[in-house]
Amino acid sequence: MEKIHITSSKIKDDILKYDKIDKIYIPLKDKNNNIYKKAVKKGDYVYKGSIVAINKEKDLSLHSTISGYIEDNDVKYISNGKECECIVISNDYKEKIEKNKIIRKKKDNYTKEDFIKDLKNNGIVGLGGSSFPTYIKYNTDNIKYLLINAVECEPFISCDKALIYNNSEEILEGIDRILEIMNIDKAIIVIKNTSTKYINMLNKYIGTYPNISIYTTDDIYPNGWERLVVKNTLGITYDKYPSEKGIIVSNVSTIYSIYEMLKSNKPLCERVITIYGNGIKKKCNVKVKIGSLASDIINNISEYKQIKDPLFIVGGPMMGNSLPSDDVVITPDVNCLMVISNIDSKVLPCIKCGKCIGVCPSNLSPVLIMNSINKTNDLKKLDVNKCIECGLCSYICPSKIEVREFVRSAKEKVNK
Amino acid sequence: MKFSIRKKTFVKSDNSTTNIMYNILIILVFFVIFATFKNGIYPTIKGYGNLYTVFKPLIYTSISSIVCLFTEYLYYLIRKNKKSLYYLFSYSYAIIPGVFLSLIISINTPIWLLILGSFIASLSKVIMGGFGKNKLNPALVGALFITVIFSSHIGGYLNEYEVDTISSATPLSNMTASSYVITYDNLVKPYGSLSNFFFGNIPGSIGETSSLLIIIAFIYLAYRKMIKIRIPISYIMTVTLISLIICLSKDIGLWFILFNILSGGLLFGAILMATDPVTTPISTKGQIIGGIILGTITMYIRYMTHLPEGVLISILILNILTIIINYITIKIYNKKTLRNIIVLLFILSIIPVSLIITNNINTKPLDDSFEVLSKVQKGNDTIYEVKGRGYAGNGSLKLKITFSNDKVSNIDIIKSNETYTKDIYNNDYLNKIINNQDNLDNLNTISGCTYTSKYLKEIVEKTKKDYNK
Repeated sequence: MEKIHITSSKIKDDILKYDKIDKIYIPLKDKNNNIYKKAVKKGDYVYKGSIVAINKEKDLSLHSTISGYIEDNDVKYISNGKECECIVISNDYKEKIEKNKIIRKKKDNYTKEDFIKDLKNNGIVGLGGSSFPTYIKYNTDNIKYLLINAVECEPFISCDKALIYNNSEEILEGIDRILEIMNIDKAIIVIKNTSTKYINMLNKYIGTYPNISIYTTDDIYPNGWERLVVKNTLGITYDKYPSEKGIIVSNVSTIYSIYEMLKSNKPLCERVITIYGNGIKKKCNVKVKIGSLASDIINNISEYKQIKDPLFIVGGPMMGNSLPSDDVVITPDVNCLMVISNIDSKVLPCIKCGKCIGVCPSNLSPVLIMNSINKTNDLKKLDVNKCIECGLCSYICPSKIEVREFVRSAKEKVNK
Repeated sequence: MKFSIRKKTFVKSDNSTTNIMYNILIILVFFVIFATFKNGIYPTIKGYGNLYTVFKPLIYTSISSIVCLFTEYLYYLIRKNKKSLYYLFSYSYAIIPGVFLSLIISINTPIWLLILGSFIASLSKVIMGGFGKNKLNPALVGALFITVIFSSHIGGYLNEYEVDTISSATPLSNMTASSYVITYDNLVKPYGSLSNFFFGNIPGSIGETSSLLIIIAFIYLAYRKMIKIRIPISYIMTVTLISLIICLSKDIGLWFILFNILSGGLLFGAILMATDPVTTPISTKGQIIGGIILGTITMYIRYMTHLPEGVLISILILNILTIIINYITIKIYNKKTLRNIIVLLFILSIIPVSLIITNNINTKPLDDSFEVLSKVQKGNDTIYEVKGRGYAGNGSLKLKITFSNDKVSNIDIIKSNETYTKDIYNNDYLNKIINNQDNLDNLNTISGCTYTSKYLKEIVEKTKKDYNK
């Protein structure tokens, strides 16, 4: 496999804060197309962290991130570029938390079951981009390793790094607490070997935690993919979930939100996002309320710059989606907002150089998938569902063909 | 605020098709420079050339490039899909087949044939859908067309200055002509040593003889990741292995391996033509399979058939098989099965082919088989009937040679199995031999039937010896 390093420029490590918002929006559909049913009515008062919508089949729930009153539904964009109906909650700026949640048993007695229950009640989900409910992930036995994914391999995104820079002590403490509760022996923080500054920050405090170690991985895209994190660090491959082999992989932002939950009973209501691009005046990392609107954040924090033919991108430059409007709700999977000028390079015919086969981390043959796009039987043989849409095939293509879009539509065809 | 939507990755690598193609074009320019030196400047220094000879390779390249460019232009014009010359040059890379073609043909190709070949090459490309969709390597189609159909119009592969120093044509045609006698004296000696093969100072196509230049080009292209390196590597490995098996079983020196790799334009074909991305297998495993197929077919054609262009034909066969190889890689996507197929193909092709070749070649020089059938004295005349070796083998030429006053006065061909006997008559070659009988070494052979004329000279020379005894 050819190794691809994508150069990326750095932005400041400070985390700004933006939480003075009047309204938050909670979409009734997530990017994996799970549909939620509204559990509140207009005019209801909700607390920070209380459930506003549920999906019964998969036992998922959505939580309010502020306290306030429910208003009429509104339609906004979500991260996958689709429009979606949202619950609107107006902020009363009191940040009230339901009383029964604050009552916590003594620390000594805090068991794994309590932990799982708390994760569920506080709506903690994976902040790495999958939005996978954390309580399901941690509800497994015989875990040998906890891997903390701090690789953040997509270029230009730096929210996880900024979090490590500012909160390395808290993150380590959080990991230690999880190890204790879950009865896991070893935790490994996986981080790029080029981010020396952040490794040093962790090294400052890591001495007091003998169970936590740091593993450095090459600065190669997409080394932050869960499968590659496990494979590079432990040399283990798995079929569907890492828990089969006794491994839990959590993003460093998720760990931080678990820490906040354990320490101060905070439900998941904030996350750090990176705002970047040549169409942005102030590139920065900013901590925002989940459910706030991207347009509000950019107008108040970063401001737009006038550029030619701007694109609004939610997510990183490789895997992100281009959206027609900045009216986008920040959901837990959004880690980056970008405004860049569009450069359309001339698309030439495929020269069948096979570079896309060489770079595919899932060992697929994108060019063959593209050529047999109309033959569904062949597409099934080509394992299209293994595609993680990392975009390396489009990145590497010398003829500038958007190979990934072909693979995406192939996936849709096969799954139909 | 409103934005436009693009479905794509928003960062792109520096790779670009245009970049790859221009790099290959620039590399080809170096080959044209080499060709100018070998076929133009060097002969002129030796006193065989004039200003035209110096620029001949350059003129050939320019002509074929321009013909290719205009063929594409006219094709799109006729199809009512007019494209500008600039577009065809920059995005259809129209001149590349032309440059390739001008490098892989003989320096003695007449210009009208070059124009025809370039036209066919370019036409084969645009008819199949243009750049990116062609199934066969255009330059090779053009070269095959002119070398096979018009072979009698191409005057061999020798430069004028080489005709004197080297008695036979290219190393491989020399080997075919000498009934597959594999000895160092027969294959390498006439051309100096293997280092001449390496630096390119041997007869051959216009620009493909310098192995050194090709290896430099390979290192550059592989470093820039611009070619499918698996194909040339597995190709050369296969040829090496087959040669090695032949070496071991026939007790030939290991020079034979190098001879196979360095002669016949194999390196040029392997590194610059078999790696043409468009017409070769896509998947990595398919590329390895392709290399094995190329190696076996090349060796088979060289040592089992009389076809001159082993590399050219094998690459074209691979181009055709590419469709099947790509189809198989889709149908059998399982990596392990594919790997087993490679191993199986390797064993099933290399070993039988090496054994077959081993049976067909000789390691000792053949008997000359010169024989005096009768010698009759009639007054002042002595009439000889002699039999000797020709291009078609031992005893394929039977001559009646009359001596009067100690001089050859008449030569008749009684029997000939040669293909080009007609050319001997057409050129009045028998009379030329009589006129130059004291100085036969300086009599040029006929291009187009080099061997027959050469063997005729030999037989006359030997009869003279017999007479003078």
